[in-house]
Amino acid sequence: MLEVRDLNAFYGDAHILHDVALQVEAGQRVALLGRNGAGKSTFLKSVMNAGPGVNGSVRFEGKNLGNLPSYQRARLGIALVPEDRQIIPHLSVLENIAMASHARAGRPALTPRQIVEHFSMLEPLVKRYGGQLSGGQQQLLAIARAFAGGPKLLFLDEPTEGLAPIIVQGMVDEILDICANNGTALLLCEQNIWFSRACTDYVYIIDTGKLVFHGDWRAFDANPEITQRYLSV
Amino acid sequence: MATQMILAVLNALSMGMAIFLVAAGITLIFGLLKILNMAQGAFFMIGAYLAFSIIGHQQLSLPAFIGVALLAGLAVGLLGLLTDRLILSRLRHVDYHYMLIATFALMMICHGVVKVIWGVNFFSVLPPKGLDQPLQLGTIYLSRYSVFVIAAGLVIYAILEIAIHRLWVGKLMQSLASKPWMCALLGINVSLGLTLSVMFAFFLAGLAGGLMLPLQSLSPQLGDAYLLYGFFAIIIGGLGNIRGAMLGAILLGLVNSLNTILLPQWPGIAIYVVLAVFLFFRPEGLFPSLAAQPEDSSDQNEASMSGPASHRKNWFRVGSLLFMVALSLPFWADGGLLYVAGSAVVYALFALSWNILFGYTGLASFGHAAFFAIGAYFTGVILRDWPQVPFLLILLGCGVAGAMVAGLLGALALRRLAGIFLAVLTIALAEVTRLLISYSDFLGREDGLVGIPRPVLDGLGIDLSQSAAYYWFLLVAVALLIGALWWILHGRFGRVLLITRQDPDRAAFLGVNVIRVRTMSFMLSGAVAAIAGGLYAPWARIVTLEQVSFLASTQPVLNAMLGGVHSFWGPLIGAGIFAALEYGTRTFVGLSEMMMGALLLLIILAAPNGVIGLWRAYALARRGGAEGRKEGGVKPAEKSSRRLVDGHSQS
Amino acid sequence: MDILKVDRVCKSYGALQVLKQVSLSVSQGSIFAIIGPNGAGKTTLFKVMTGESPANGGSVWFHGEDITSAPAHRRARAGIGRTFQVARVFNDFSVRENVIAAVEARRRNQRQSLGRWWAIKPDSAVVSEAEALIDEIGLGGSEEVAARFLSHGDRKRLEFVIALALQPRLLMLDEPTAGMSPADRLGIAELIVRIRDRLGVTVVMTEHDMDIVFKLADRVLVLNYGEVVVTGTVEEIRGNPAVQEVYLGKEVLHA
Repeated sequence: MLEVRDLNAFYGDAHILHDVALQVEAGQRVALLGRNGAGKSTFLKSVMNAGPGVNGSVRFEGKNLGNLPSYQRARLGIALVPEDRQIIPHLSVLENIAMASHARAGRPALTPRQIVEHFSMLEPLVKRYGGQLSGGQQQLLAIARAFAGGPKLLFLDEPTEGLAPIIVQGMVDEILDICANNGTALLLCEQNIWFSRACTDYVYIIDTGKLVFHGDWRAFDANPEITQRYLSV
Repeated sequence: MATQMILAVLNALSMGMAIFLVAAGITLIFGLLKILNMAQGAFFMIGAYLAFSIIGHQQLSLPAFIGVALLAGLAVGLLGLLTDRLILSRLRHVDYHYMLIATFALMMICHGVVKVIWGVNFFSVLPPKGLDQPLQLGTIYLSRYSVFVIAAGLVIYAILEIAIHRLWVGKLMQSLASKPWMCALLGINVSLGLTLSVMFAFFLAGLAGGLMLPLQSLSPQLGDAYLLYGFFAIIIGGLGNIRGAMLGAILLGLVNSLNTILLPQWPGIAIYVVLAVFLFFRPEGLFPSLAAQPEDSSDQNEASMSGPASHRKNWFRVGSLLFMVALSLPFWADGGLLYVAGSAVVYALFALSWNILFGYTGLASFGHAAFFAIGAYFTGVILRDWPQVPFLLILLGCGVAGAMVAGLLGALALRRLAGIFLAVLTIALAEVTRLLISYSDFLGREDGLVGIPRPVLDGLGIDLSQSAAYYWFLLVAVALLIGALWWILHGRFGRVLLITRQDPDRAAFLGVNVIRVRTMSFMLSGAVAAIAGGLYAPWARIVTLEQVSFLASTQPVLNAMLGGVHSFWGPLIGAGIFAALEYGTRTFVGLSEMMMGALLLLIILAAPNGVIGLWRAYALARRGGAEGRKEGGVKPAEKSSRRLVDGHSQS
Repeated sequence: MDILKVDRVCKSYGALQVLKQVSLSVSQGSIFAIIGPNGAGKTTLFKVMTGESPANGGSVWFHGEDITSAPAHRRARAGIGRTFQVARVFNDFSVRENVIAAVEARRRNQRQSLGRWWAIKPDSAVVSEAEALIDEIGLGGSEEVAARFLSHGDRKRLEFVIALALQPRLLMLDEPTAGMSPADRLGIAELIVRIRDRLGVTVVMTEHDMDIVFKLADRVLVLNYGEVVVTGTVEEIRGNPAVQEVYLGKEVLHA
C-alpha cells in the first residue's frame, strides 16, 4: 500500500534522512522506533510532503506521489496525527473532527458523532473548545479527528509523549478497535516499546536518519543488542 | 440646532461606515496572514476610480449604482488575486516586516498608477436617482444617500459577523489562520483558501470604494486618509476582530464630525488626539483578540553571512577613494550633478537613521519623513527669521527635537505589539505633521519655506553660501556623524540593540529593559533623521510639504533595502546607487511613485538583502565550499527569499 | 530560608481556570521540581513565576520582595535566571558573542565596570569571564560557531551558560531535558547538580522525565487540574496514593 524507496530528506542544508526504504501493506500495523531526533517525525512529514525537502520515491496504492501537495495526499487517504496534536483551539471538539472530513474525497467515513461514540472519553466534551482540553484529551481528539477523513493509512507520531501511563493503557484498545473496524493500516512512530508492541506486529528501527533494523517482534526480541544500541532503555 | 445635530450624527455614521469597510478588509487580512495591508486604502481608492470611470457624470438608478459598485469590487478582487500570487504568497514565511514593506511599496505603485491613468484632478459623482432628494422626517430633512450608506454598511457588517462566527466557511478561515500546516494535513487546500480570503478582503475594499463614491470628491489622496482611519479603527477596536472595527470606525466618524463643528479651523486633528488617548489608556483596544498575539515565527534555516574580516582593509581603501572622489566633485562636476550628489549625501544619512531602527532594532518606521521634515522646517525657519543663531546649535536643536518627538511616539507605540503599532503610528505622525504644517501660515502652508539662506559658520568665519562650500561642509558633517554612529552601533549599545532584535524575550531575561532600549534606538534614529533634514534645508534652499509625503518616507526604506539592511554600510551604498539611477533617468519625472514602489518591491522579492547581500553571496560562492563549511556549513544562498533574516555583520 | 514563595496564585484565561490557589515555597540551595500530567498547569505556573504571564490573584515573593507584577528584566536583575523549553539563544551571534552579551548584561545589572566607555570591543575581563564559563560547561572549542548551527543539546548548554553568566540566585528551568536523547539527558542532569553544588544556586524546574526528577529533586510539587495535589520529598511522592492515582497510574511503565 505504502512503498517508500531511497527517501532522502533535508531541512535547509541539514541532511536528515538517508536512503530510507519502508513498506506498509493494506491493513498492516507497523511501528517505527527510534530515539528523539532519529528522524521519525521527519519521515512522516516527508511522506506527507509537509515540511522537509525530499528526494526519492513515495508510492501509495501503486501511484507515485511525486510533488503532490500535502492536502492532496491527505485526500488520497493518508492521515497524519502530529506529535504536537495541532488541535484548533477555537473550534469545539465536534467541529475539530468535522474539519477533517475535507480529506474524505468521496470515501465513506464515520460521521463525527459516530467517532465521538467510539472514543468514549470525548463524549462528555463535545461542546468544549479545543483549547480547553487537557493534553491527554487533545491527543485522543487528534486521533479521533483523523478518522473523519476515512483514512486508509494512519500515521501516529508519538501519541504517548507526555501522557500519564494510565491514559496510555486505555488508548491501546481504542486504537486497535477503530483501525480494525475501518480496515485502516497503521504506521506508529514511538519511543515507548511497550505501547508499540501492544499496537503493532512489525517493527522498523531508525537511528540518525538511517533504517538499522526491520522484522517482526520475535526478531526484535531475538536481538536484544538492538534495543541496547539504538533505543538504550 | 436639533437638525444640525442629527445631520452631524448622520454624517458621522456614514463616514464611519466607509472607514469600517476599509478597516474590515484590513482586519480580515490581518487575522489570516498576521500582516497589515498598507495598500488597503489604495485599493479602496482604485475601486472608487473604477466606479467613476463607468459612471462618469451620469446619474444611475439605484440597482445600476449597486451593480457598478459590485463590479468595482470584483475588479479589485481580481487585483487581490494578482497581489496574493505575485507578492503575499511569496513572503508568507519570512519576517513580517518584509511583508509590511512590500504592501507599502504596493501602495506607492497604486498611487502612481492612479495618477497616470486618472490624473490629479478632483472628480465628483452624483448619488443614484431617488437618493439625491432629502428625506423628510417631520421638520427635519435628511440625506437619503447618507441613510443608504449607513444601511449598506450595517448589512455588510451583519453578513460578515454571521459568516465568520456562524457559518462553516468562517470556521474554516479561522482554522486556516491559526493552524495552516495542520489544515493541509486534514485535506484542505490552504493556499487556495488564503488566496480566496485575500481576494474577498480586496473585494470589500473595491465595493466600498464604489458605494461610498458620491460621499466625497475623488482625488489621489483619498486612499491615504481612509487607510489611516482604517488603521486607527482597528487599533481602537482591537486588532483582528470585526465588531471592534465597527465600533472604532463609528467612534472615529463621530469624533471627526465633532471636530468639524467645534474646531472648524483644524479639520482632521481630533482623530489623532483620540487615537493617542486610546493608545495610552487602552493599548489592547476595545475587544482584545487572541489573533493579535504574534505567532511564534516558524524556524527557518537562516544563514549568517558575515563578511570576512580580511577584506576590511580593501573596503577601507575603496571607501577612502570614494570619499576623495566626492570631495573633488565641485572642481569638475556641473551644478546639476553637484546638487544630486549633495542630496545623496543627506539621504545616505537619512537612510542610515532608518536602518538603526530596522537593521539593528528590528522595528520599521513608515513615516520617517516626519522627522526629516521636523529638522528641515526647524532649520529653515530659524535661518530665515533668526540668522544670528549659530548653525551648529541649530543642528543640535534638530537632533533634540527629533529625539523628543520619537520619545513621545515611542512611549505610545512601543509598549505592546511594538512592530505593528510603530508602523501605524509613524504613518500617523507623518500625516499629522503634514496637516499641522499645512494649517500654519508661519510654516508657509502648502507653499512651504522658500529661499532659505545658507549659514555662515560664525566661530570659524567660514561662509557656506556658495554651493561648493556648503557641499564640502555637508560631506564633512555627514562623515563625522556616520563615524559617530558607527562607533555607537558597534560598541556596547550596538550589542544590546542586536540581542534585543534577535530575541527580545531572551534579552529581557538578561535584565535588558527592552522597551527602554527600543525607545532609545527610536530616539537616536529620530534625532539623526532630523539632523539630516536640518542639513538638507539650506542645501535645497526650499522645504515643502512634499518632504512629509509617503514618497519621502519611502526614500530611506528604499535606500536601505537597496544597499542591504543587514550591514552598517548598506543604506549608504543604496543612497549612492539610487542617486545615480535618479540622475541617469531624470527625464522620467512623474513616474516617480510607481518607479520607487516597483523598485522596492523588486528588491524585496528578488534580493531582500540588497546589494551587499548579493555581494556576500557571490564572494562566498567564489571562495568555494571548503571555507564556507568551516564557518558553519553556509552554502551560497540558492533561494535568497528563504534567507531574508540573515545575520548582522559584526565588523 | 525560603528564597521563592508563591502564595495562593490564581490564573484564568477567559472562563478557563488554569491555576487555583497554588502555593509553594522553595528553600535556598535546593532543587525543586514541578510535575503533573500534560495540561495540569505546570507551564502556566512557571510563567507566573517568571513574569511572562502575570497572575490574576495571589502573590509571588523572591527574597522577601513582592515580584508578582515585576516585568522580566526586573526579575533578571533581582537574580532570577531562566532557560526556555526550546532553547532560546542569539542565533546570529557566535557562542562567544552570546556569552559576552550575557556577561555584559550582568555587569550592567550589578553596576560593575564594563571597561573603558569608548571601547568598541568588549573588555578583556568580560571576554575572559565568558570564556571561563564556556569551558566550565563544556562548550570549549565551539566559541566561534554561530549559535544557529549548534546541535540541540549544545544549544541547551549554551542557554545554561547564558543563564549562569547572570550569576543568578535562582535558576528556573522549563523542561530542561525536553527533546533530548537519553545520554544528553543524563549530561544535563549532572550539569544541574553541579551548578547547585558548586555555585549554590537554587533550582526550580518543570520536568516530564520521572527518572530525572527522582534523581535530582529535593522537593517535588505535583499539580493536577491547576491544583496542588501534594508537595514533598521524592520518597513521600512515590509512596503517596493520590499521586499514584493522578499521575503514575497503577504501575510505573517504562519506555
